[in-house]
Amino acid sequence: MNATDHSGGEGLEVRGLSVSLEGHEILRDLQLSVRRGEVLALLGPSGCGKTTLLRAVAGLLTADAGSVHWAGEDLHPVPTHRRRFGMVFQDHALLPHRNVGANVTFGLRMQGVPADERRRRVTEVMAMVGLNGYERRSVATLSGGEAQRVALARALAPEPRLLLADEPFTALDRPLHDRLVGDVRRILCDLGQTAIHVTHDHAEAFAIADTVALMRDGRIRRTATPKQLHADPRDAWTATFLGLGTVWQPPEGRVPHTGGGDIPTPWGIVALAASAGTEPPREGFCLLIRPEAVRPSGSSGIRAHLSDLRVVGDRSVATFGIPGAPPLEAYVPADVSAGRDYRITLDPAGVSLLRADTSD
Amino acid sequence: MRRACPSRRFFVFLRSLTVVLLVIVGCGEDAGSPAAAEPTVEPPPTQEPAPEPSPPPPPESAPEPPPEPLPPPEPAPEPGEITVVTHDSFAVSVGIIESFEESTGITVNLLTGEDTGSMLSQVILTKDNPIADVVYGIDNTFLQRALDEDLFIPYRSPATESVPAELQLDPQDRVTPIDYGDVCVNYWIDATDGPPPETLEDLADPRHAGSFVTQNPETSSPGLAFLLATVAAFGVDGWEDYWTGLRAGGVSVTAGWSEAYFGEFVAGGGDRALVTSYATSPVAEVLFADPPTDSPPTGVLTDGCFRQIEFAGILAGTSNLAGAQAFVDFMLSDTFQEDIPLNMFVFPASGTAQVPEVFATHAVAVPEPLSLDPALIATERDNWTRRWVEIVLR
Amino acid sequence: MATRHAGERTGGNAGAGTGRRRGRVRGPRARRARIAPVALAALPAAFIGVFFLYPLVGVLVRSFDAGVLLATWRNPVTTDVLWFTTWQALASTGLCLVAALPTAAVLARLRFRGRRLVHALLVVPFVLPTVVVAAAFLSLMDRFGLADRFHHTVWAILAAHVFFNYAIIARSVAAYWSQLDPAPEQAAAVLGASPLRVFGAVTLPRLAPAVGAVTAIVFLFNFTSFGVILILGGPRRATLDTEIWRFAVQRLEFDTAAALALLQLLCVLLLVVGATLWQRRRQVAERLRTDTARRVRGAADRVLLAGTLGVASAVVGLPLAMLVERSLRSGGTYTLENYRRLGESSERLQALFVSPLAAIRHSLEFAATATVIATIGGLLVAVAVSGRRKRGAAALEGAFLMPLGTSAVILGFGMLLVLDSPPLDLRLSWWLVPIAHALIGMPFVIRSVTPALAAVSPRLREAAATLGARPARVKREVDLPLALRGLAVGAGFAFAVSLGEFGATAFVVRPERPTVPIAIFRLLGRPGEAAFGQAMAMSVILLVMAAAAVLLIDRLRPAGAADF
Repeated sequence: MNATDHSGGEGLEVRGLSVSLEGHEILRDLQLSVRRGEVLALLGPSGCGKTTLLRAVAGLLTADAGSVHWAGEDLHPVPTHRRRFGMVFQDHALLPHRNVGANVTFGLRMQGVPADERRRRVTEVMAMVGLNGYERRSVATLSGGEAQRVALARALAPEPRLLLADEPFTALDRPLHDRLVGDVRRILCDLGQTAIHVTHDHAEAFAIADTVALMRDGRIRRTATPKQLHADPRDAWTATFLGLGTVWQPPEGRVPHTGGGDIPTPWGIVALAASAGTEPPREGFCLLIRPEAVRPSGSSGIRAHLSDLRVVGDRSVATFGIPGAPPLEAYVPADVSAGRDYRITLDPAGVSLLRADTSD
Repeated sequence: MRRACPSRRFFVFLRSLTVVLLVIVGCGEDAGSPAAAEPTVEPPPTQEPAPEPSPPPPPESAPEPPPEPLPPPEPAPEPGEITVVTHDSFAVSVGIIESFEESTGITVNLLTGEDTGSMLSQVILTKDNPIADVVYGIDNTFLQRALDEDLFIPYRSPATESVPAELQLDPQDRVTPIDYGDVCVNYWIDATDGPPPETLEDLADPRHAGSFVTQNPETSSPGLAFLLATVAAFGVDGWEDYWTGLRAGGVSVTAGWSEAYFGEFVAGGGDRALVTSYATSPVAEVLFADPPTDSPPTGVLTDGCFRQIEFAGILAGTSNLAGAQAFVDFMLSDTFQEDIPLNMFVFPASGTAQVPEVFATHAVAVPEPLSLDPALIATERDNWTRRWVEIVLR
Repeated sequence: MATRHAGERTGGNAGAGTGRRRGRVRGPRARRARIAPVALAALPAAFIGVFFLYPLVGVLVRSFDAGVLLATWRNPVTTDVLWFTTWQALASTGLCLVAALPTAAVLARLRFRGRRLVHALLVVPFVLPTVVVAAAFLSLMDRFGLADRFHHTVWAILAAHVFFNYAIIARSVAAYWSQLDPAPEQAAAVLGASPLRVFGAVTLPRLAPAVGAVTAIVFLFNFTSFGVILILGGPRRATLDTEIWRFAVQRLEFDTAAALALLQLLCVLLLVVGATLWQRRRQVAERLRTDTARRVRGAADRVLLAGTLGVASAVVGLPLAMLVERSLRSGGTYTLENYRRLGESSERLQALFVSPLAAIRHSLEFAATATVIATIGGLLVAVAVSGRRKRGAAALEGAFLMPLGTSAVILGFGMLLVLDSPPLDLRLSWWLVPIAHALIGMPFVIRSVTPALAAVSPRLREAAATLGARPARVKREVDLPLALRGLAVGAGFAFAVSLGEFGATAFVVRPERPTVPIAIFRLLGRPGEAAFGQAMAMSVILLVMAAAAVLLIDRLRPAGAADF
């Protein structure tokens, strides 16, 4: 996967997009590109402008400045209904007066597809989302997950050039959520569907997308593969948002501006290797201490109190506290127990240097 | 009288609507009067009664009717259409108007106002472009008002000869009397407290006044007629005292005839034994009795009856004067006159008309009906009703 | 990159999040798309312009006299009349609301056997002539020995207004209510709100658009009440409408009548503008369903249902029962004689000109035509104004309410006065009646449809747009189906209005084409037991016609989910 191939003539290209709603600047000079066949997750906290961007791309609102292109064509004069972009809404937006089948074939009817073909296609899409035989059901009788699948099927049925999904899985319970994320990923891959999937859940974003666009305060901060993001979050905000571990800000002037060497931390000296590839930040930096870096050892290390212990998946996650330092999260073996003190050491391989928060 | 088929009417309507739309869309400012913008196709409305075919005598003739014999076969006046506007009590038997249409070739359109007053209002408001050629049903309480408005083309129908002189109130023949009836107090024979009243004075006896229901003269034609009867009976100075007595006795007042007759009078299940109605009401009580009967359950107090005379007139601006005159003649013909009693429950004006037997039997003849000069009614009516409201309702 | 100044902002406090998120609408293209709704309204606007405003202005100009106007307006009697007109209308409307909202709740939320029938029967009082209702009321009061204390009192007026207008509120609000998602109420209940609190704090505000829309209609009906005032209120009471009628028709003082009509018009205009603005501000997007009623279960439901049906039958049922009972009484016994006679009376009762069967046919023809005009026109207007938050849209919506607040006499005169020359020489036309009826029916359609349209979530329209539906297609595929329930209610009322209309009909109808109310009125215009009995029978037939028509119109609406 080559994330730097931005030919521009291929898929979606958003250039310098600015949108204000009721006097508030929501999107600021935003750039984004999505290649054909790529599934891009638009990841960011609530209120960062993800939905607004999606709606601007769909043509449901107009930008103050900037433009949206598909395959090189400026979409400004193209109204929503002629963009051939499918959209899955957070609240499904299924038409309550039509049954499941009629909802799914709606787009095909708008295109004037003959009835036979519609019927064939609806069977196909319903099978794809695993809801065969639901065609005659009333949408009021659907569960949340079913409704979301129907919404997806409806958006996919007319074979859109681009699928826009606006936090479609937010309201679902975890197992259903995970199952749907997997299903959708599979469906999109099978179809080679170009898609933008909006979410605030990094796990969902990583699971579903080829590329993740990190969005914050109306801008795309970074576009990268999930792997790249995970390996190199680059800044404190990203690391915190992605939940990669404990972010610690060293006190001013206590750390050399070298990007390597021994760094004193409340948990002991960490010997960071001179960073490979990463430019050492000029204006302050932080340390990201991933959970796997923290090792409870028998005798050496700093004494820390294990205040909380919980199980996430098949791992135990512990929270260690020492006076005057933020709580530290760590993966621990199953035999530790909460309420006791342990000595801990940090494995430098799990510690990396980050830019300090650069929020403006 | 048959109407054009709806589809054609619909087409006409659509066309009209389209024209209007075009006018409105075309010139926003002038949208107010699209119709007025159209050139008028009609002849000028203030057309004097041009003596076109003129079999009937010219209008401005002297009051004395020239006794010239009629041209034997009514020379069919120029066929066409005429429109007759009348009040909602108008009714004729099936075939009567058709017989006129057949013999003259004239199509008759009927229009009704709600009651006499609203019919007259329609005629006055639309007099620049009259809504009809003939108006029928103006009574003597409204007559002067109508005459003052200059609504009519005088016409003396030859048949007026057979109408008694006392019914011919307009010496200039602007209107022609067609029928008359008397507004009288009726009583439910089995319900009066003691013997029924025989005079207006008896009626004021609390025994009767307390079970008497009449109508508001401001909103009801018989109500007005009864007020006028009391004015005629007790004089311009005496009627107020009479009503003060009626009120003290407990008279009830309703807005209209139906509410009085069917609401408070015994006939409709009410408990009042006396009601202001017509001398002919017993006829209807026999005709529409349930179960059938030969003797009406109601009687009529023949003292203090006000005579209402109904007139027809030809409206100035008619585009079919001959047709209008023919229709007035027709209304005085025996065919029409003899059909009047059982349809409208009034007496035909023409002396030659035979009234049906059931009508002759049960319609109560009023020996001395009261009346007032229409001109006096016109000038004093509002004062009287205003005073009446103060006396009876306040 | 050039900055594009897009169109207007979408409305301020439109429902949670939805409005705010919409942001600016599209640019020049959007403007083009917005012209379409205006064009939609052109036809109904022309209709009301030609058949309402033009006659009204015509008759008022014809009768206007500034001196008389000032004298009339300054006259303390006028002030008294205006005051009485206003307060009795307010009181009647308030009582209607109190009586109708529980019924609406039950009809909206509970599914029970006969629900549609109750829905349809409610409309019945609406079509009955006032004289007949007055007779029914009086004989009812007579049963309880209250006739004397009731007759010619304000209470009689209020009771009759509730009887007549109860259904307007109950049916329209129920239609809207049944489409509302009950989740917010359930949430409030879970948070510990008592049922009454839930209603006051959650349901009532959500219902406000529908309640407001229809309350304006009821108020106008009460404000321009005529027959009830004259007949039940007695000769001492007068409203602006009865005074206009009296001056125009009894005293033939058209200048005074015009002065009063202008006063009435001003009051109505104020009310209409105020109500429309208020109502539009309360419109929010809701998640509309097709029908949220649930089965009756549990004792609470049954008590509620029984209580409501009890109130409904007391308000509507008892007077109707008296009417039916009276229609069956003939010659001292109970028989179908009165009905039988209707079939044979053509030669015995020429008052009708035509047989009662023909009157029924005329009524149905007029009503069907008027309903078609009102439904199409009303729908066009509703679609045109929905989603438009500009003043112009409010004014347009309000304008269609005006005929309800106008004296039938004045409008009738106006029509005869101005529609008098080609291409609009309609004075003899069959069309005048359905046109007049459609003027009165259209506001019902508009008012039943706009709340539903306003509540349609913009998200649904957007979903349709992303699926390739043109703006016009969106209206047809999304807005129209969701408005159908309201449309059916509105059309039912339009039909009923036409069936029962008397005031305007009496002015413009041809005597050989009497409608049923006109026939009843004529029957009641003459003495005789049989005439009265037949009038009662005819009234019962009228109410059966109304109920049957409303049931039928309800059925025409596609019930379940549409096929694909």
